[in-house]
Amino acid sequence: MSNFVVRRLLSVIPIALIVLVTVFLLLHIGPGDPAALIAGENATPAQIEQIRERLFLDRPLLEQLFLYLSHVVQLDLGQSVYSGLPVLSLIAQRIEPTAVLAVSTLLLSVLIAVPMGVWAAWRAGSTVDTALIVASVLGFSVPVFVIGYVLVDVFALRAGWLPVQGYKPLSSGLWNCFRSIILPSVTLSFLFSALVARITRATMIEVLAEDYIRTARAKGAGNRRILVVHALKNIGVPVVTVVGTSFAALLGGVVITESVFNIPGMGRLTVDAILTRDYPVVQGVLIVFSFVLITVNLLVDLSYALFDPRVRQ
Amino acid sequence: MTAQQPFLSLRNLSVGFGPQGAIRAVRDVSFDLEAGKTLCLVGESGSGKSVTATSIMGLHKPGSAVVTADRLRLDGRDLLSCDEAQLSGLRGSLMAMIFQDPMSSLNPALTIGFQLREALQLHEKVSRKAADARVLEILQWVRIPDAARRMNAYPHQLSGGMRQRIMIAMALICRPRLLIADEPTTALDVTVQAQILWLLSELQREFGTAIIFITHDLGVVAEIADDVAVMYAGTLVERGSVHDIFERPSHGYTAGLLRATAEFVPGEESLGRLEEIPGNVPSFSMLPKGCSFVDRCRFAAPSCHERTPDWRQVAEGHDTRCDQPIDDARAASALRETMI
Repeated sequence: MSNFVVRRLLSVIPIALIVLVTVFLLLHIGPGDPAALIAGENATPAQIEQIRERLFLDRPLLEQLFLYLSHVVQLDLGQSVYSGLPVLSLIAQRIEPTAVLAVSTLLLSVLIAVPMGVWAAWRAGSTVDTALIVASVLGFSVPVFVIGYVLVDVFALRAGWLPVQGYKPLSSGLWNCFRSIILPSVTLSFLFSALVARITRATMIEVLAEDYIRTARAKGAGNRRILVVHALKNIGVPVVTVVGTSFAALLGGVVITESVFNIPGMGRLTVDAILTRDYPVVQGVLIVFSFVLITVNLLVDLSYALFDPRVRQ
Repeated sequence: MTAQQPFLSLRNLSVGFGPQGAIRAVRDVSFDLEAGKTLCLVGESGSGKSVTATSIMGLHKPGSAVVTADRLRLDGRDLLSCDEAQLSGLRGSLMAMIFQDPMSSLNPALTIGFQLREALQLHEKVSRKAADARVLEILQWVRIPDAARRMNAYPHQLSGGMRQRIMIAMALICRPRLLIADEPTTALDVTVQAQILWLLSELQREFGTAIIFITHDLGVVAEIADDVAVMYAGTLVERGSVHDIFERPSHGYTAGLLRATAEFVPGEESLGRLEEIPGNVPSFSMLPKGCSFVDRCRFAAPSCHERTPDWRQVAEGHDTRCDQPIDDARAASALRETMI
């Protein structure tokens, strides 16, 4: 394993610590007494006191932080103030639909956007290219819920091919799960593939103008070979970067999409927790999302070594 | 022209860019090249040397250039009537090209071995093992030290001189009969430059390859050329043997180029100030009426402003596109003027 990989793996530790401390401090940054905030407007002083003790809010800040970190390390994210259930099991119940939605959207977008971007770049300036640019501007600018409701209207209500809303878990069979997730992930793919297609197109145009592409043509490589063998590997780094960094935006979109399609996932859990001031749940969700993003970015960086031999040293 | 067809023959090659090829970067270029000979294409930056070479290879980006010619024949084939697939088949096998910048001309994501093997396997059906053997052989031929290990190296791990030798190896692996070298030594150290030139002459001796060598370095021309073609503002202005061009330049531009070149004479203290050609190369959209060199030519006559000069023969195999070709007497008097 090269130096680069080791260094990048080690850099996860400080990032994770910063995330945890920030999430912990969230509770204390806002104005007022956190215990009173959580207890709500109609709570009695006794109830507030009870919450204060349960969340260790009566201890000194540093001790609280230490307690919090030591619990998180043991995978104890506390209990929901609202339902009293452990936050971890709440998240465990909700994570599958979100994971399925995010992964299927990611796959769908990349499978559509990268070939489209490459095609448009190859035919830069043509009708195909212009059509792609227009489509990607639309994909960017039409809100997710508009696309969602239009798709539901056409494919679920009028055509009746797909369920209007709801989620069927993987345990109910792959096909059922797939059917329930098609419309949500297509909806969410618009935004994501618009982004990826544009970056692919731009990078591809740049790469196709490189001297080494001319060299490949000079030695007699045909068009397809130039695209697949000589150009594709060189657009890897920028394309994977945009896929990774916009994964955060994708998670944001997941929250809205889950509301539109009534999917009981992490997005809904987040929204509900914020509305009920269920701070432990909010914190838990934040930690999970943050660690997913840290992992995605780690994978993105490690993939650089795959595409670009200059990074490996 | 001899009865037998020359190996490479161009007649009135023109290349236009932009809408309908309106910007004519190359106009009416004609020359022949015999197998085993070296033609140097000489001229300032932007004179159309590279565009001419790229057109022979058919390497302009599809749809970007309009190439026309009365004749563009290589080894009996009409290159103009070839489609892209046919040209792909010829590129790398019959004709190959080396480029100016070895730093950017190799694919950074692929190993040296892969890029060389590909050049071979695109044109010849050989097994991976046989291909590797050929790659190793050609790497040793271009004097890559430790060649077997270098096959697994990536371009960024090699020096500029070594990369250019890789480029040469890649161009030569299928033993092309025409090699176009577009300023292959410009980006390299002088010592490396000498090695590269030596390699090319070695190649020519061994395989009888015809070489078009593009350069603006007249020192290199003197060393390697059989024939010289001088380009100015997109067109050829003079062509002849290297001896004719250096000893009896008959176009004002050729004479100017030669006078602007440093010549080191042993025993002389200083070179003195080099003479420059006044003015700049005109842009393609603002070519002067008549001869395109007229505004910078010290020999220009009033008639030069009026009509575009035709080719005229100065001597056997030595042509100039000038209505007032320099004869020795005029050259001598011009030279005297410079002395004063």
